Amino acid sequence: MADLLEVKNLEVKYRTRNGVLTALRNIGFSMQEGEVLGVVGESGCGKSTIAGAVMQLLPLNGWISQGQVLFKGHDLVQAGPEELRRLRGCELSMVFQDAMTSLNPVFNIETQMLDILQAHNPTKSRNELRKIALAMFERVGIPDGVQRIKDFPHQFSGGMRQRIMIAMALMANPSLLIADEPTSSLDVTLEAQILELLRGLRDELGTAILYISHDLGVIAQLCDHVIVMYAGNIVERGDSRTLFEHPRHPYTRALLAAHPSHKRHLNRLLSIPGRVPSLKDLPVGCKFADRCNFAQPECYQAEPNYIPLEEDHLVLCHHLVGEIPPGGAELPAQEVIPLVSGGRVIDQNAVPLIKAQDLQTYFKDRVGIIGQLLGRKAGSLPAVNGIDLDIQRGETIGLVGESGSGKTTLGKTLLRLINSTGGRILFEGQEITHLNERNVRPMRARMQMIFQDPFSSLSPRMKVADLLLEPFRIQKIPVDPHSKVPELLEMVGLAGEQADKYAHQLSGGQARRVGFARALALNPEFLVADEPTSGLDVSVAAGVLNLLKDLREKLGLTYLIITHNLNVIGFIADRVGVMYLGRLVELGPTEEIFDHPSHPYTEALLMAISNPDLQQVAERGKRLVVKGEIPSPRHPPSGCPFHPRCRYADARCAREVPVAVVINATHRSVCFYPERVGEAV
Amino acid sequence: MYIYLLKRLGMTMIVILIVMIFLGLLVQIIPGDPVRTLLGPRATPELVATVRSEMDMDKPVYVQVALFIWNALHGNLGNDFWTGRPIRQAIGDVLGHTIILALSSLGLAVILGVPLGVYSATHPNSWLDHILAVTSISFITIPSYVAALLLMLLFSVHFRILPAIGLGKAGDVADYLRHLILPSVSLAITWVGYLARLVRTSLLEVLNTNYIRAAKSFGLRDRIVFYKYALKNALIPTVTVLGVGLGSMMAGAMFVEVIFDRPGMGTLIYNAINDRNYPTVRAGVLVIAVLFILANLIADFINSWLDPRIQLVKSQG
Amino acid sequence: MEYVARSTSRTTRFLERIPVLGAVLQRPLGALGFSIVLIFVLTTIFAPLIAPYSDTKQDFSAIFQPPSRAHLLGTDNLGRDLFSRIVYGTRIEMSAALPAVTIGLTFGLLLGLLAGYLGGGVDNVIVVLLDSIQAFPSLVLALAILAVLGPSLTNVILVIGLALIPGYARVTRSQVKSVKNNDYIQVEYNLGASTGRIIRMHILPNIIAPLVILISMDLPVVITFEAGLSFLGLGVRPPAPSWGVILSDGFKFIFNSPWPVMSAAFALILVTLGFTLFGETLRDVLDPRLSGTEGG
Repeated sequence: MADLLEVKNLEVKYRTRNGVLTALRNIGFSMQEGEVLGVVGESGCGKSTIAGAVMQLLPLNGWISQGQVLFKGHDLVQAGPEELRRLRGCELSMVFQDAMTSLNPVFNIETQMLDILQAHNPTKSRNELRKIALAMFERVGIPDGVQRIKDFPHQFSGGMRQRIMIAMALMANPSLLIADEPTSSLDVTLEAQILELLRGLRDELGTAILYISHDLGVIAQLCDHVIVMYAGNIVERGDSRTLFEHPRHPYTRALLAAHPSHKRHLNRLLSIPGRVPSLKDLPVGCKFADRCNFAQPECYQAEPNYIPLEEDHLVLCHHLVGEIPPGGAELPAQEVIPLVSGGRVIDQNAVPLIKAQDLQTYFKDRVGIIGQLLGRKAGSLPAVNGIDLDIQRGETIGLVGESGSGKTTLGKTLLRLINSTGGRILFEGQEITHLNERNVRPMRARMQMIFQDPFSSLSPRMKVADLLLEPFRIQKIPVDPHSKVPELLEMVGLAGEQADKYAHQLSGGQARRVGFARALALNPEFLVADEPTSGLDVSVAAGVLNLLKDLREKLGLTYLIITHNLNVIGFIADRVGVMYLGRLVELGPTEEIFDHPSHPYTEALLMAISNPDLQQVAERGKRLVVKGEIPSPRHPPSGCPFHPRCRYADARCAREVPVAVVINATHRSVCFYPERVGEAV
Repeated sequence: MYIYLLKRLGMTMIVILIVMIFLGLLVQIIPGDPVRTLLGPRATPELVATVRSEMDMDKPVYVQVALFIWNALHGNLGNDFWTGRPIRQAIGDVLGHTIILALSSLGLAVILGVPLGVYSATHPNSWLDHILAVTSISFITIPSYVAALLLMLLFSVHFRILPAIGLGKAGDVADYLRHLILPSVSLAITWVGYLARLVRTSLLEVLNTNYIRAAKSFGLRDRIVFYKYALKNALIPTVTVLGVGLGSMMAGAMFVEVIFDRPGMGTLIYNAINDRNYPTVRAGVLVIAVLFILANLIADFINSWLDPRIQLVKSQG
Repeated sequence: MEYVARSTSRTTRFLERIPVLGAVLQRPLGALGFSIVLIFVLTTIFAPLIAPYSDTKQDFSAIFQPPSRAHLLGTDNLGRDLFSRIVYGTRIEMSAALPAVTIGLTFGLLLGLLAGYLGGGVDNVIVVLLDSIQAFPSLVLALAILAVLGPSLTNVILVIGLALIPGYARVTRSQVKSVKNNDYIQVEYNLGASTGRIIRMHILPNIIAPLVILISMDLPVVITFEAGLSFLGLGVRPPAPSWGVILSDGFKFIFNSPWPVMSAAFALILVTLGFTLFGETLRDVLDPRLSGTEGG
């Protein structure tokens, strides 16, 4: 059977301020009809460029310098603009990462959909096309299609917009759909819904999908075959099972070993030393050599060739792992330990370091003068809606939730960065809820925050050394810069020469470490880390997570780790609290909650986790994807906030707000029916 | 949409009120005794007192300001000091000419500037684009009165093909238009350059957006992508600017009217200043300010009609 | 490896070491603009040395002369040398532009800081105030005030300064608001930094760049404005050689000789062009730098 898509020897270059860069080198792969091929890699590897190259829609400064892209036998590189136009949207379609910016803001959805249909069906009438568009609209799960199709893009939520993009891409029933990170900006539960939608549409329409993502877990769930990219090369290619269970390229193996898993309790993650090389400065020879555990002298001198293995499996390497000359290093074996606070002593009976009692933080809307004259009342956003939480010294609590859960607000409220509007906060038994700024200040040295956006928390005008010395300067603590700065840098694993750089010259991982170092400057006891790994490549994130663990051991820190990623929780947290719309719906030991969730929302999150672990994927079998989207925190549902999406809910859940149910001494759930969670459907 | 409209209208009212208070107060800061200065050598104490009372200047400040605002809102802009004629009539006589001048300049600027901008954006970095860029910058930097003088030099003095003075023969439309040419072009020049550059930048920005790339990836024809999808987005900032432009045209018209000796708000205010005819100055300035504010308001509304995002920013939760 | 190295001459490398200005000078339009500005500034300083005649010396035997070796730009209706008048005029222009911009900058900066940093009611009031000033086309505002105060250079400076305030205030305000939003401001505040320290160390450095750009774009506007007001007889009084006065004198006698009008026009256009080119290049240099990061 002829290939649907065959890419041969593809090379793509960009003209930039730094000269001509080669983004893709020697790319070759093929796809059959109905196949799902995943392209995975970290930032800068060129995976998005492949999408642009196949669609012949590279940015203005990019071009295909070599190679062929054969779609159903025709070379798209040589095709004329009209032929390409006819194929696009009709045979060959694309879905982009950010649906908000990919939809024209000034036209309504109906206009945009009809324009697409009309471009490919010039003979059909507008009414006929309208029916097709509506049908697709409803197929992707948007309720009230007839009315909503006349709305504008900004009137839809993020998840809905992504569905609309998918609808537009698949309306004309193309043979190939290219999806470029379509779920990267969505919440986990939404991501699971979109993936289910894509799977369903694929089964129904037989569309082949070229799925591009940095998320190994998603690729593992969805794809038949996988391509792994690094610095513009395909370093490994094969079918999904072989690649995930027996990876052959050192990079693939390292990548899989760097991925935290909520099920396998690892002591440390493997973090790959060094950084992805910049395209300006590619090394001679194998591009991965200087980060590779198995590198031999010839790896630095000559580019490797593809070694074909069984069953269409290809590896770009000088040697086959497993056949290294004696003396070569092996990947350190992963030490698996049971997830207890190994080595740390936590006294559950002591006065908690931080205690929150019925804590509330409500944001009031500001109504301008005119608004007040018009009689508008100020609404409020209950970001933190009655939280009870004890954090013992030495513990690591994970706080997990999706957007609108209030987890960041809770973190900031505990640290008195935001003023609470109700309830109490106690630090070592002492009430700090209403202390004014002057009295809170001495405590600030003891409790610090590491912000989610590292660049926003580092002043762009100061060098790293000055940033690290700020705490001392402001608090007027004398300190020797020449010893303190290197000490702090070393603590977080940064080289001394970083001290002279400005924040924007650092990579994401480095900037995060600087934020960490500054937070540690005054020897805090309690640290709140807000999304410590978001926006980081897997290998870089692994390093940050290892660092968090190491420093915990060394300095006896107490952590509150805020994240949406349950895998991170599994790696580092003793206990986990699950937040939904400002409430703590479940709180308990990590392992216990992962094995037996006692709240429907926790169950939904666990269902939606993605791990590059095929065994888990198989075990989970038919995933139960939770329906619906997170409601706006301004208009929470009546009764239990989760009830509209809960598959166990009944009338009582809509009427009454549940209270905490004690599961055991350290585990509680806010649900009427915790025992029903996990029931077979 | 409505909430936004009301908010804007409310703000506008407040601003107009402040403007009127300011103008009302302005007369107070005239150095010396305004009435005496006005009357000049004829200032006998009895005459001064009479005039002062007639002009309400013997009343306390806040009363004067309130009276001014009250009258203005009723369309009574006071009487001309020398002729006793209601200022409203004087303004009514000439306002039309100024508005025609402003509109025709704006129209000229749009007709020339926008297509130039569109062309530049579709042929970026071509030699024509570079020429247009340099020309645009040069045009922007020529103030309207300089342009007026130079054009007059060229076409009226040197070539003698266009008239330099006045409105033209009454009732003769062709002559009126002939007399309109140099003034409009003088005003339009600056804006042609500005609009061309604005449209160019706006378009180039839009053409680089994700949604244009997405539109192409769905196979829409280039013509539709450009003229429908891209242009509408690019024109939004342009429309806002046009509102400001109309206002600035009305101000620039002052110079042009004086230079070409055309009756209009400009010459009215100019002559009034020279005659120390403060009531007229005040009324003229008020009318222009209100027109300017209205032009901006209309531009805002057109903007919010074009851009659906604006309205809902206010009302969505 | 695979990129084309850019040719670097000694000049380029020298310029690259000068912050900001070097980058501006590397671009042809920027260099052109800067040269013009430099000539303008030097002329202002060394006017008596450059001008061959005094600006008021009348010579009735040589009125309406076209340019010649004796009179580089010709003479006006009173036989005064146009070139000298233009040269001395630079001083008048500068003496109007600098103070006016200073007024606009000082008050605008203050109002912008208050509005941006304090927010809330203060912000609302200040914004309404700014809107009111901007409700007038600046010319009309100037006319209204000058009509009342009477024409003089000082009044012109005051009026133009007033008209400039909203521009600086708005730029300052929006920059302050955007900087305030960053987490690092909160970090500083929570470590115990005083408001003064935050403003001094974090907010001010971030607003310098846009303000500098605004200043360089405003200077030609002020000059043009002053010349326009003087042209109408509402600014500097003759016989002072403000370029507007030269234009106005020339206008009266436009049918006798084009040279007065043309020389003043030339001067105005040249200076405006210079500042505009410089300002725009400055903006191109500073703006992307502010948001540029080393791509991952």
